[in-house]
Amino acid sequence: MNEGIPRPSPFTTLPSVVSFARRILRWMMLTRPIRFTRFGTFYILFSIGVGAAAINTGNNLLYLILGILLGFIVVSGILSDSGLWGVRTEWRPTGTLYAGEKADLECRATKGWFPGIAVQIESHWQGLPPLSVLAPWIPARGSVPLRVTLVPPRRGHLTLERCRYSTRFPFGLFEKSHTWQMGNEWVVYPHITRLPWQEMERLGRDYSRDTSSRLGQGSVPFVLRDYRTGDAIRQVHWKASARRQRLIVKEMEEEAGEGDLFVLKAWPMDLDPQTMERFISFVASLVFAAYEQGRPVGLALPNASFRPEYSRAQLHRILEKLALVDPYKDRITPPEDIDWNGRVADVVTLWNEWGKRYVH
Amino acid sequence: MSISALNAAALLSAALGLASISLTGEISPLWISLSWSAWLFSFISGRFPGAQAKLRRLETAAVVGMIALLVVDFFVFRNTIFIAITHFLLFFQIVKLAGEKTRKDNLQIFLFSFFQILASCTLSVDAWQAIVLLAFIPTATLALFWNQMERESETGTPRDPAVHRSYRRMATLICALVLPLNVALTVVVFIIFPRVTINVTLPGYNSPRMGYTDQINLTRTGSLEQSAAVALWLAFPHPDDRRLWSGYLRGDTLRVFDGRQWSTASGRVRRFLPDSNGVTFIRPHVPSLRLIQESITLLDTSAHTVFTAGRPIRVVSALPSLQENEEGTLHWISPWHRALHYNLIAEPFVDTETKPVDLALPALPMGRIRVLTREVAGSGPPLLQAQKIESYLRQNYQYSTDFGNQAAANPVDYFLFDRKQGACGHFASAMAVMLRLQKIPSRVVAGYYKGEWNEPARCVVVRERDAHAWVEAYIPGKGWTSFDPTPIPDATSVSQRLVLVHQLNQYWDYLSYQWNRLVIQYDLYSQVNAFETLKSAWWPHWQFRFHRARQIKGTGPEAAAEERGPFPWKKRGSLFSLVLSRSPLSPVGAGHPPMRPSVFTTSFWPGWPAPATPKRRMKRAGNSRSAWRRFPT
Repeated sequence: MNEGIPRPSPFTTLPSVVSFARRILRWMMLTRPIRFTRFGTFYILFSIGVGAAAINTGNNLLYLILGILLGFIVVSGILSDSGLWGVRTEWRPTGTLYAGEKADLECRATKGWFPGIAVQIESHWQGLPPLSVLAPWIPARGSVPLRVTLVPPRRGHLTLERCRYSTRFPFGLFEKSHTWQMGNEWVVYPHITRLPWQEMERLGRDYSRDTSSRLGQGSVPFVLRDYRTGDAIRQVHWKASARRQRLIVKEMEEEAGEGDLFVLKAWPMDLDPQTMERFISFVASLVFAAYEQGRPVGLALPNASFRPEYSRAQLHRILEKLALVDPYKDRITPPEDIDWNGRVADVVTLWNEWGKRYVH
Repeated sequence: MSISALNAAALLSAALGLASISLTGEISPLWISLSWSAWLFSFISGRFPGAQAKLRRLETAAVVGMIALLVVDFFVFRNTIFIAITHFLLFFQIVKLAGEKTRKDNLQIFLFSFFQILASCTLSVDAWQAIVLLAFIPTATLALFWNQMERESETGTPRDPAVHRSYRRMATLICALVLPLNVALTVVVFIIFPRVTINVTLPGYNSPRMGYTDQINLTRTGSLEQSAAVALWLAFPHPDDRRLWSGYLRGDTLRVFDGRQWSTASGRVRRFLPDSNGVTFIRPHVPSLRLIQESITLLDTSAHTVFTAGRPIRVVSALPSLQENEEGTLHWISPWHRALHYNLIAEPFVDTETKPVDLALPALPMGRIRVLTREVAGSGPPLLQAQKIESYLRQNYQYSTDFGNQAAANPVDYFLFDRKQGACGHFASAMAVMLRLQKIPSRVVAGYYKGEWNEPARCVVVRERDAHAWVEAYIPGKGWTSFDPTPIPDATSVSQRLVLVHQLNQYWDYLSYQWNRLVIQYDLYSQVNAFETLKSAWWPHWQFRFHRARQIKGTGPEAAAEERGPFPWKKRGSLFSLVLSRSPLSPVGAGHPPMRPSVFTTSFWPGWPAPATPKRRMKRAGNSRSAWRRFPT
């Protein structure tokens, strides 16, 4: 009778069954260490006491109360599991990370089908004590941003090894947790010290190549000439016009700002590791200060050279290099010889002259 | 007046705890009213911050005071340990309710209310406990949830109002989820948790509280409390048996009277042990007497007396042993602190044995009583004299529960000539003394009278106020015969006159009955029975084929084939009806096996003797067909 109607294959539901089974298996395989809270310990001991009293007296009301107490434990387990199941976090620094400086990281916590309530997110960082942040409420199938502040202890890689999600929801009887391996990595730039303004000014005068001997739109007058039709009135040099009794206009020099080039021919191997770190911090601070003063900055290091350039990307490139450099391995190759009209600053000299006084 | 969610949950639980304590009726009204006042005050206590701060400073002193109170309560006021602990809990609760309420205080209020509920469960097992426990689940859920959430916010950042709204929604969701889940889990735990009663005696646990006593003391002063608490439930599996019942439920027979107090005579005691089926054989059945089957649920077992209508010949109970005194009253000596259910088969009470003590008179002046007795009883046959005395007392004296403020030196004389009113004990004592003065052996019987028929439960509800005493006189040729000289007061209470209230009372009693039968009475036997029911439900075919094949033996091959059939259980209804009919949930007597296996002879625990299931009984008896006749199922 039903010959014309195709029968649904029994295998059509198979993928969903397999997926469901896989989810169940994953749920079962998930390790959830349970730790009794103080209140939970009392609760368990009290339940045992009520059980003993029920057995001793045979009072069925005590059995009922025991059932309620045990029921709360089971319900607590189910709810806390639901509250933890599917918690994930994505970590992102809100700014640049500098060694020894406070840094904010945004932790975006997401949740599965059940909301996460009072989830404690404990992040374990390499070389740092664990950091905790409480997510009071993570909406179901939604996310919530959280902020974690940390101080990276040293330059280099900052690694988030794992996150432990724990909750005492709903009744505070137990703390259930599960740990998620993360492996996120960020670069921490060397510690930046605010260098003295006078030294940086002198540095600019001595070493900075900041003019181009070309007409341009700079702020320094370059040449005076007679007025021509089409010149802007604001270009008129009124004093010179008064002196010469005709309209004279001023033309400005182009501000080339080719900037500073700091050169480190070889890492000063005579420094002990701690002083070497201070030295690297000094180099980074030099670069940073030059950039802050609006000058293009370059750096020539063993194995790496950065031609002067004024851009944020350049600053990050240099700082990243300094963050990851290992002076004890990079000493072999001398830096690339960059022609910079001989106006290069040797950072070792600067370090010896005044740098070591300011960088601690 | 704004209160936090935790505070509201704590106050709700406090109300629940106080209600449970109040409903036990074991705590004095002073304590109850103080506690409720503190509860009401807690709503406005925030307006008096100064007083709260002072109270906070006094907390340590209060704790010391409370411990002192516990000691004084227990040793000086002679309260039982449970009452003393309840006083302690109430005192603490009062302090907490009146004082400042931080998160910890709210948690303590909740915990103390829980302890109060726990204490009330040891003080009373009435049906309202079901409502209290049911209401406790969502209340506890709310209190614990909000406590935890407040605790988290203490350590973390200040809570966002949006998060608080989400928490409120979550609290509602959890409550809706927890209630059915927890009830289901509680039922499962309740059913499967092994019932191995150890019965280590606790001081003051289940202290005597019933109206019944095995010693009638006539020197009591004050007034007798008419407690409406249910003392026992009496059901007749066969409705005809109820018509045979005279309304008297025998407890102890009191023969010794010292002028002020009646007590039992010491003498030979017979001890009985149940057989492997839990049946205690008391005496052989007199074939000429008709048997009465009774099913009694005794809620308060503090008297250790097996009440019966008639003379018991078989008792089926979970008691490990019984003993019978010379008067034929059954007692148990093992510790048994909870409600007791027992079935018994009795025959009409017949006793023809007398003793010298039945004529013994107290060493008190009897002059006036003797004269009065001669006047009343005259000189006819003993039966006539007894009837005259009974009638005289009924007509000329009044029933009263007020004993007066004066303890008389000669209570019977005082009752007959001065006070002329008294309780059943006075009437029974007066008649017994008057009979003895006429050289007619007499004794007083303590027990219960009548009770109230409950239609929904189809059984008799006997309350503590139904405790009664009557007289038995030895009439030559008839044996011991009952007389009741007490003028029975009009038992129709106000609530009975109002039909609706009466019906509600009846249904409440019915619920109490079911609560007692299904929850309070659930024991190891019920547990084993439930498991065996489940087992038999899984293999009903084998069960039925095995049973029915033998029971219908000789009824003809057609009937046998029809009964045996391929699936005989289907003829009897669904699997559910089968399970229900064999479960302890079925109505009284309907599905219960007539032989109740003893809890101590089941094989529920490894190494114990095998259970007395028909199959194994068969094997034990040599697997012969005649064995089945000896062990009817």
